[in-house]
Amino acid sequence: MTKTPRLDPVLQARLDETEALLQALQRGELDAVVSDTTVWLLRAQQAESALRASEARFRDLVEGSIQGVMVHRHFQPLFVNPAYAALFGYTLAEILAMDSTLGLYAPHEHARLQVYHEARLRGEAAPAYYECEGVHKDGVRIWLEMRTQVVDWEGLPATQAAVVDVTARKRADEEVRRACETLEQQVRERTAALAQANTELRAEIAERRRAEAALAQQNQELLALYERVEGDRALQATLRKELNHRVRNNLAAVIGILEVERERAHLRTAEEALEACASWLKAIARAHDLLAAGSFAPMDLRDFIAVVAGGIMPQAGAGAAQIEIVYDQVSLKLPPKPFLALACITNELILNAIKHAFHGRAYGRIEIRAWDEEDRYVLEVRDDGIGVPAGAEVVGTGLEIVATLCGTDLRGDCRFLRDSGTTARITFPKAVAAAGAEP
Amino acid sequence: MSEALWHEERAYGDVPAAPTSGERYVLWLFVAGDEPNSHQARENLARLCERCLDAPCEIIIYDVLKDFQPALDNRVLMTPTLIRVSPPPRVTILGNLSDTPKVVAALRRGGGER
Repeated sequence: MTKTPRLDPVLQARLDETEALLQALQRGELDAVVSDTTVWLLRAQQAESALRASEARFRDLVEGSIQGVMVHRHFQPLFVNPAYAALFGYTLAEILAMDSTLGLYAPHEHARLQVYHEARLRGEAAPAYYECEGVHKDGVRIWLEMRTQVVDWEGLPATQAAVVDVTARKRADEEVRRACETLEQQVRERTAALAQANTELRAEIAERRRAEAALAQQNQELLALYERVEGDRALQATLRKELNHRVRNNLAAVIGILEVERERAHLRTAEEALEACASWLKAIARAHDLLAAGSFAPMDLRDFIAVVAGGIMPQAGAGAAQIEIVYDQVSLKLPPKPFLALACITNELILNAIKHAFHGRAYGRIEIRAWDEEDRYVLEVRDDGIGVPAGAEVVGTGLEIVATLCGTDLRGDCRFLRDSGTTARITFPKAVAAAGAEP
Repeated sequence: MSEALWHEERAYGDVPAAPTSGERYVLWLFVAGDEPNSHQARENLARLCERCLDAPCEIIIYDVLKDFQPALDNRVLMTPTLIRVSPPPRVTILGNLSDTPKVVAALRRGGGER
C-alpha cells in the first residue's frame, strides 16, 4: 500500500480501496462481484483457476515426461516437449522453428500421416495407435509408436501425439522374426532332404523289388529249365529204351526176312536172294533213320512214304519204265510203332509193282493212299499195270514177307484186288498202332 | 468480550441509515449467500466481536444474492465486505476476516482499511 501525501484524500481513499480489493482478490478471500445489474459469483472463476493450475501441472508433467509429446495442426508444431525433440536428436527450439514436422518422418509415411491427421480434424475415424518410421537428425531411421488424439488448442482442434521410440523392440522383433525364418527355412530344408531321402529309399526299394522279381523269374526259369532237363533226361531214357527196342525189332525183322529167304532158297538164285535181303535192309534202315531223326515221335505217314519212295527209284534199275509214284492222300499222323512194318510193306509193294506190273510199258503210275476208318487204318498201294496173277494171294517171297509183317507186326490183313491194275490193301487196327513201345 | 447484535439478512429498507451509538460498534457485513468466503467471514466476525472488541457490536448482514441494492448504495463491489458504520469514520474491510489481528486493529483504529 502506497500513500502519496500530495493526492486528494478522496482519490487516496479510492486507491486504498482498490489496493485492498486486489490484495483480497489475490488471497482468494472474495466470493462475488457486485455489478450494477447483477452479482457474479467468483466460484466459476476459481474453478477456472483450478483448471489452469491443473493444466499447469499437466504441462509440467508433459514437459518432464520421458515420452515424447507433440501437438500440431497440419504438422505445424504448436507444442513439443524435450523428450520429443530428443527422440529425433533436435533441440526444442529447432523443432518449434520448423514449418512442418512431417520431415521428422520417413518419406513413405507422409501420405499416411497426412490422411490420418486430416481425417481426425474432420472428426472422422483414424487410427489412434499405430507405428511409423521416423528419421533421426543424423539420418538414421527409427521406429516410433504413436498414440494420437484430437485436442482443443486455443479454441481450434489439433492433434496431440505421444511418441515412444520402439526401434530396439522392433529390432528385437525383427531378430526373432529372422530367427524364426531361419528355423523355418532349416525345417523346410530338412523336410525336403527327408522327402528326397524318402524318394530315394522308395526308388531303392522299388529297384530291389524289381531285382527280386527278376531273380524270382530267373529262379522260375532255372526251375523250368531244370524240369525240362529232367524231362529231357527222362525222354532220353525213353528214347534210349525205344531205340534199343527198335534195334531189337529191326534185328527181329531181319531175322524173320532171312528165315523166309532161307525157306525159299531153292526158288531163286543166291544173288537174287541177297538183293532182296539188301532191299529189305535198306527199307528198314531208311525207316530207322527217319524215326531216329524224329526222335521216335509220332510222325506224318506222308513224309515217311516220301522217303521210302524216294529211296526205291535208284533200286529199280536203269531199265525200268517211266514210273510215277503218287502219294497225295496219305496224310495220317501215326505213332512210330507201325512204321517199320509199313516201311517194309510199302517198299516191297512198290518194288513188286515196278518189277512186275509194267512189263512192256513205257509209263506206269503207282498211287499210294492212306486213311482211317473207325477203329482201323487203311493203306493202299495201287498200280495201273497188268495186275497180279489171278487167284494169287501171295506170290513170291516178297509178298509172303508182306503178308507175314501184316499178320505179325500189324495184326492186320493184306488183300490184293484186281481191276485195271493191282491194288494191295493193308488194314490194321488203330489199337496196334497206338500201343506202347512193346510190339 | 463484546456483545454482538445480529441483524441477520435484513431487507434494505429496515436498515438504519447511519450508526446510532458511539458506545457500540455498528458493523455491516455484505455476503454472497453461503459461499465459502462469506461463510467464513460470518464465523470470523462473530468470533472477533465476542473475543477481541472492547465494545458491544451490532452486526447487520446483507446477502447480495437476495438483494444487491444495499451493496450498490454503499459502493460495495465484492463480497465479503465488512463496513464499520459506527463509530465514525466509516471503515471498509474486504475478505473473509481470517487475519484477526489486522481486522481487530482496523476496527479499533480511528479509521483504516484492509
